[in-house]
Amino acid sequence: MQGLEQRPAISPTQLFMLAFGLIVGVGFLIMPRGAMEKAREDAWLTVILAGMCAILSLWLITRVARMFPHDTVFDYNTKLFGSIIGSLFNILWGLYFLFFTVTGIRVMAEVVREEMLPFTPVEVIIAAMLLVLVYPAWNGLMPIIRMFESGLPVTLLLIVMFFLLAYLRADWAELRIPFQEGVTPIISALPQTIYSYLGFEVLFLYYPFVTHKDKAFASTSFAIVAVGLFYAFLVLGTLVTLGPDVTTTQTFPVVTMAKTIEVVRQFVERAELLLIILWLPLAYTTHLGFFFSSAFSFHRTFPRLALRWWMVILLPLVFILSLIPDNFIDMQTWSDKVGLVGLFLTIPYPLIMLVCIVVRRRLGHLSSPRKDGDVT
Amino acid sequence: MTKRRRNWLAAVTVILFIGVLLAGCWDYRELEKRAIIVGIGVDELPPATSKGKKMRMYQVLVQVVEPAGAGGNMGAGGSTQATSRKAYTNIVITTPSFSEGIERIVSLSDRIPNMAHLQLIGVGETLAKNGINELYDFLTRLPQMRRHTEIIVLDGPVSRFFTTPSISQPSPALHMAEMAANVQRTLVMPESNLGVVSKSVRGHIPFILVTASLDENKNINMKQAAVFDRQKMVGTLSTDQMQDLSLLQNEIERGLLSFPCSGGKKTGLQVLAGRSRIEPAMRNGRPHVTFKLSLQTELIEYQCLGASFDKQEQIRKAERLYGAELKKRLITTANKLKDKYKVDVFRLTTRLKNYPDLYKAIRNDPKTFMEQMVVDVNVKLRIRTIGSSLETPSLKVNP
Repeated sequence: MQGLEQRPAISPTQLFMLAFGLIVGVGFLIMPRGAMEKAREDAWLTVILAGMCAILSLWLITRVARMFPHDTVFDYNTKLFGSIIGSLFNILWGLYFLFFTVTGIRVMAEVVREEMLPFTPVEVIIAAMLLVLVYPAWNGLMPIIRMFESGLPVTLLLIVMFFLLAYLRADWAELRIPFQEGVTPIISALPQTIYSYLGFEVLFLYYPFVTHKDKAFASTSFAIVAVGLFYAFLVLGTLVTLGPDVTTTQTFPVVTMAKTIEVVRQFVERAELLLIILWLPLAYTTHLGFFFSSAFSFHRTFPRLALRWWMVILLPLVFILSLIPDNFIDMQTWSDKVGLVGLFLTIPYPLIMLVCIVVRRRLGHLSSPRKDGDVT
Repeated sequence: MTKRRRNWLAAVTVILFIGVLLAGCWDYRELEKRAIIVGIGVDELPPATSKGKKMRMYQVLVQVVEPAGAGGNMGAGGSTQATSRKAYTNIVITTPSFSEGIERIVSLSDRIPNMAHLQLIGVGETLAKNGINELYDFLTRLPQMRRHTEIIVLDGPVSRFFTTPSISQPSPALHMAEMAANVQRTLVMPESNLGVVSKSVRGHIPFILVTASLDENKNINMKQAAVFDRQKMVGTLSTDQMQDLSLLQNEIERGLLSFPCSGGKKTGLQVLAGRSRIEPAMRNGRPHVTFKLSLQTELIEYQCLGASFDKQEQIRKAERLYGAELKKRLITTANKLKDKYKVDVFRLTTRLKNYPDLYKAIRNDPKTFMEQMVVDVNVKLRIRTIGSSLETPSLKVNP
């Protein structure tokens, strides 16, 4: 990575952590609403189905990445699509990660202000988060991954234990035998749910740094499975504590679910504050990963400017862009657009690449793929 | 400037910056400068006219705790009547808007209102009957609002409830909140707080709220409940009806079941655990719902003197007798409630989700569903313990 550090070497466990930390961020606070709007009581099935779609997309990504085991997507974009279209795709990747960070940070700031710091300006919350983002990102990918490794398991364990408290007051009558309304509602809720799985596409960027490439698919799919189970647990939680009618009318259904927790009357009075404390590290890892990936994408596209300079440039840009939307609803339209780009980059884009690879190989423009399991 | 000095300067700047951020002094406010609201009482006043249109007007009473233990009663005009070291202050505001009313606390008491610790919402009967939709919107929109905040209906002038002193609690709002929670925790009353109200309103299901009233001695009691349909109070339930409804709704916690003996005396069974399941079916186009109740009880009082419980058959006999009595009572209450209100007070809408035909029928036309519904109850009552005494003393037996 151009003198910033030694070449990164991502182990299968680290890849699992990286994927999990990137996927689970701010989206899950809102996700049950989107899933339940159409699938209602069957929303947990939609979540599992979306996870399966994500694994399918991951399989496509690894198929492409395996053809170029020592290159990042920025290198083979130009090889496959030519320098102009390839560079445009590279810029698209950079912008996608940039706007993912922007939307994520603004949503995080809105939640923190609304539930925790009502008198603190959003600008201050965003600025504070951005400053702590730059610190670990400054020295490259490996410190970020180590941070994921050290923080995520404990955070996840605590957050699951926290939500189990909500299950104590569950109304199991809210559950329904699946497929009573057929499969159409489950499938129609898929687009809103699948956004919450975005993040695993970073494999396009970091595949060359994975030490055991033969295990890349397995590690990342395990991460997606873990995310799917976590999401299903949350959707089920909102269903049995709030019910579908309340869930679909809440701005942040998972935060509302936390408000149902009462450990001992008047002892833990506002449990949602605990949730926010536990959730912030999850949001932080997502912002960190996407912010770094954005700088990394631009650096790989325009290598004359060092990675750290790209971070310095992107930092105020994220700050300014995240303050443009008027309110949370406006921000959500931004998020939906970013999600659409994400969907393009995870499903049609690898398919197009696979077609290009086949065509280019037939034309003799590409050599045969290298063997799997190469250690970089 | 040398590199070493530059680094030193940078380190000092960073430490100072972090110090400012972490110290928590920025926007810090003393507790005394915050108006921590523990209870609000709302009732409806005659409407005002604004631009030729009628506008709903409310009287909002806000109870603020006084951390120093000294306060006073502030009237609508903002005048303070100092009283001897009260732990709360009541502020009464007349307003068409709840948020505007609560914000006016700043001008009346120079403190910033904080609703994060609200324990009780008291709804006046006039407001309850006219509809709580505007109050509901305000309460559920507030991010600080807890879903366990108790909501009760106040049968009488709101201000009298919020000035009734309590021995155990520092303020009347906290006293009423604790009372309402205890009433719901026992068998007497199905759960009813902001969370349940929110769920019912969104699901278009009727809900029940505890009703507080004042007795002759001006003490607060909670012996009744109010039935709400479409956010309007449509009727009241007696203590017995509340208890029966709790059993049918599967809201069974510890509580006392009383059965009459001769001469007005009673047998008391303490509920240890229980469950109420439903067995619904559509027969000849009519919904049939069987409530299957299973209760574990403890005999705590037996005024029907002269009985002995030293044999298992005698316990079984008592179980059959009280089981049959309870069944009769529950069927009567269920029929009475469904015929009177014609709404789903039994929370069947949620419980019928796994019976598509019935669920569709109750969702589409709850009134017809309730009119046509045939209710049956099966009670399996078990006496698990009879206490320390095997035999009850009889007055007729000579010493």
